[in-house]
Amino acid sequence: MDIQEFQSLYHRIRQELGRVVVGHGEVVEGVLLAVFCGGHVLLEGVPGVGKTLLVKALARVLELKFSRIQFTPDLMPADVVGTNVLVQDPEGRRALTFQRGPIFSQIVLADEINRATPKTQSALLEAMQEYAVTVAGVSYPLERPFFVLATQNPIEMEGTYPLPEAQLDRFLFKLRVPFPDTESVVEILERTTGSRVPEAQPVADAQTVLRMQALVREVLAAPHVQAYVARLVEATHPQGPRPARAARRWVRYGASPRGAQALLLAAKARALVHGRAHASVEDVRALALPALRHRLLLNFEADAEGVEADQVVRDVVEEVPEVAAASAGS
Amino acid sequence: MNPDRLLLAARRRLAWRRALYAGETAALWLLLAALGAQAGTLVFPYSAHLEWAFLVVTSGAGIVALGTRLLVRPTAMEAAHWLDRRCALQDRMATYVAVGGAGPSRLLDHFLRDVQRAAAEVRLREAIPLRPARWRAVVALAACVVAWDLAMTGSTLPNTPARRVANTLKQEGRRLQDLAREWEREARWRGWREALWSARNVQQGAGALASPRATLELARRQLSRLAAEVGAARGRLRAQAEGQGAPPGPEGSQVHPWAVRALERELAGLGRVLEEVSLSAEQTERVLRALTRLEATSPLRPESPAHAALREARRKLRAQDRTGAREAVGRAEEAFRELARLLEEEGMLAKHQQEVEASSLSIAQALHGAADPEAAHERPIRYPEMPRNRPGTPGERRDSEAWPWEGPQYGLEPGVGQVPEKIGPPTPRLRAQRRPEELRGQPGEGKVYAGRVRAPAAGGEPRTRAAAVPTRLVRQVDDVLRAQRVPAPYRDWVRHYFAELAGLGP
Repeated sequence: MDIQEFQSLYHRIRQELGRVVVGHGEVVEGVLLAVFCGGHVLLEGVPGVGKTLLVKALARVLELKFSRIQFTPDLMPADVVGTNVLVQDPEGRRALTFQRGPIFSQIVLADEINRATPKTQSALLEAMQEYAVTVAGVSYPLERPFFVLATQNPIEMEGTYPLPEAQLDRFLFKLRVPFPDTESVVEILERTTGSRVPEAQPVADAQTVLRMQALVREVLAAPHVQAYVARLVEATHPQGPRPARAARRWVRYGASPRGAQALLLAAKARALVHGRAHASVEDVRALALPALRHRLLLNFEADAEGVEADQVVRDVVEEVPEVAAASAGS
Repeated sequence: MNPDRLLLAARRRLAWRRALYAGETAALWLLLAALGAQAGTLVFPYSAHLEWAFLVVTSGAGIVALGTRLLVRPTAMEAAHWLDRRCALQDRMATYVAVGGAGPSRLLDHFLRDVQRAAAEVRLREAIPLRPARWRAVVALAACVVAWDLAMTGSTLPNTPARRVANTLKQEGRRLQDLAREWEREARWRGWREALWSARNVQQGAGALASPRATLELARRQLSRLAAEVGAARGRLRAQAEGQGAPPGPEGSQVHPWAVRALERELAGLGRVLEEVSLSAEQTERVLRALTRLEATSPLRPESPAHAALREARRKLRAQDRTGAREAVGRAEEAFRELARLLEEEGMLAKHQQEVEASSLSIAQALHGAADPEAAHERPIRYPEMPRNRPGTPGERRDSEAWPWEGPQYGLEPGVGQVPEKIGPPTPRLRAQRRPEELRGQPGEGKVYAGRVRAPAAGGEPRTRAAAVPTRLVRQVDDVLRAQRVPAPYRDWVRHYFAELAGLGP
């Protein structure tokens, strides 16, 4: 696969998704970048804005196995990963057989993930990071590519369990799904209330997605781009050597190295999407918000002042210079 | 263009651009410093020259630009970053420099083609323009410096050293102007061309001092120029006087005008005698003796024209040629009169020089904070009118009947004048310093004059009767001495003399 083919596929995927999902261009691009990076996405938005529809359409366009898990407070880990059940064969012999849970899929929609207990949320940890599930001491690899696309409602917080930092860190992006504008709502009404509901057609398959993921890792990233990513992440740490002003004031703990990995990988994917074989600082800056916003642990003062992580990330990006040498002689 | 060649060209161009930028920055800072220096003249008495300011700004900016060009060399990565940023190349060039044209990626060929394509589209002149970016600020600051020089030169803030000096400059300028006007009138009336020229010069220089834009340096320059010019004019007069037979001395001619005038008057008397219709042998012998004595007592050099004329007069008289003798005496009288004029004119120029030097001293004292600026401004120094001889036209023949002096002339020309208020018998001369003594002027601005007092006081009876001197005159002498800034040793001498005269001495 080369860049032209990658771009062509990307545009076709966008086109097919666009038949089903109205608007949300940034969210769609973010989800696709995460897919090309092999990362997971946490979608945050109010109910009814098309989060689930986007994921389902994506699974169809990429022709991947799709499963949906509706997270509820009484959901147990076994309900997610599966469990061993006692099965009797026709000869009457009984044996424990592993009954696979809905996690054994390629695109898993973890709907309203924050409604499940932390114990159940944690069941996703191994799957998201190791692409495997261990039950009763036996490890079961997950079929690649594997994506978890979780959703959560930012308004209704009663009876929810906020995701722990370790869980949040596993997500490549946290994307906010905004309420669509008037034109988009009209378009949605027109498409969904008629006799024919448009459907997306598959344009790729799992192997294609894997090749696309491999190509992303071939993208060149110059040392100054990598340094910039490192500097950005470093600046989010208030205890670090060079914290940004916003981080020093509002952040209790900054982004992890995994965040830096996610940011650079996503920048590479974005470069490919834009037809380039190299990642640039501009790519990094463009993706800093979805890649870092969920990795910052804000302090009490930020909570009291109503400061959000987005603002802190924007301030950090604003403050950290691109490359010191580039500013010389201006 | 090949990316490598593009980067090389960009590095060179960027180096020049940085040099230009550094030069521009230096010019801005130096112009700001010049403005600061100009503002400083509001408080401190110094001059901020426009031409110097621009010379420093130009040379400083040039040196900084050249130094930057020679010493600071942008790296390939810096040039690449610059091109990426200015041409929106999205880090293509920087990545190209970092990757170095080789790498493990399958996408490397695509990347190199991409960089080649991007490099071909780069317009280096537009990407790295060599135009000065902040020329407007430089021009604006330069205009401010010029405007300040035009509008604010000479302005000072109250209660500052600069105001003190400015007040002194104005005050000295006005004083010299007044004096120069008076000198000019007198010189015109007497027909002294050198003195007239000097007075006009002083008036012109004093006008510059009194102007609102006068600065300390301008004043110093003007005063030193005036002193030099007056000194040169004195030198010319002295040379002429020496040509007329006046013996030279370290500080001017050693012969005084009043001595020459006395000779001239005596010759006039002899001339009148020679005009008599009949002259006895005894009278002729007396005239011859008088001529011999006059030549012997004359301070002029023997080879002077006056002496030559006297010798000729004696020769003619011995040869019974009274007419020729009369003519020779007339020539001698004329020579003495010319010499007296030269000496008097030189004396006037010496006065010019003294006043100019006094102004220099006064300004130097103001510079060192000797005077309260506001008080000095409100209370200008009044110099007392010095008594002058009765005016007479040059060449006018003055006989003894024409010498009834009016007013206090004592102290100026010994043996002449009359003092009606003096009473009592002549008093013996007071004992004065009899040993030679070195005297030095007070140290201040300008040259410090030193002189050696050689002549001991003359013995015998005074030719003018002494009289009681009121105490107020002693005080007046003190005031005059103080106002004229007479050096301390001289002052003590004079004061001691008058104090003893008044009976107030120890």
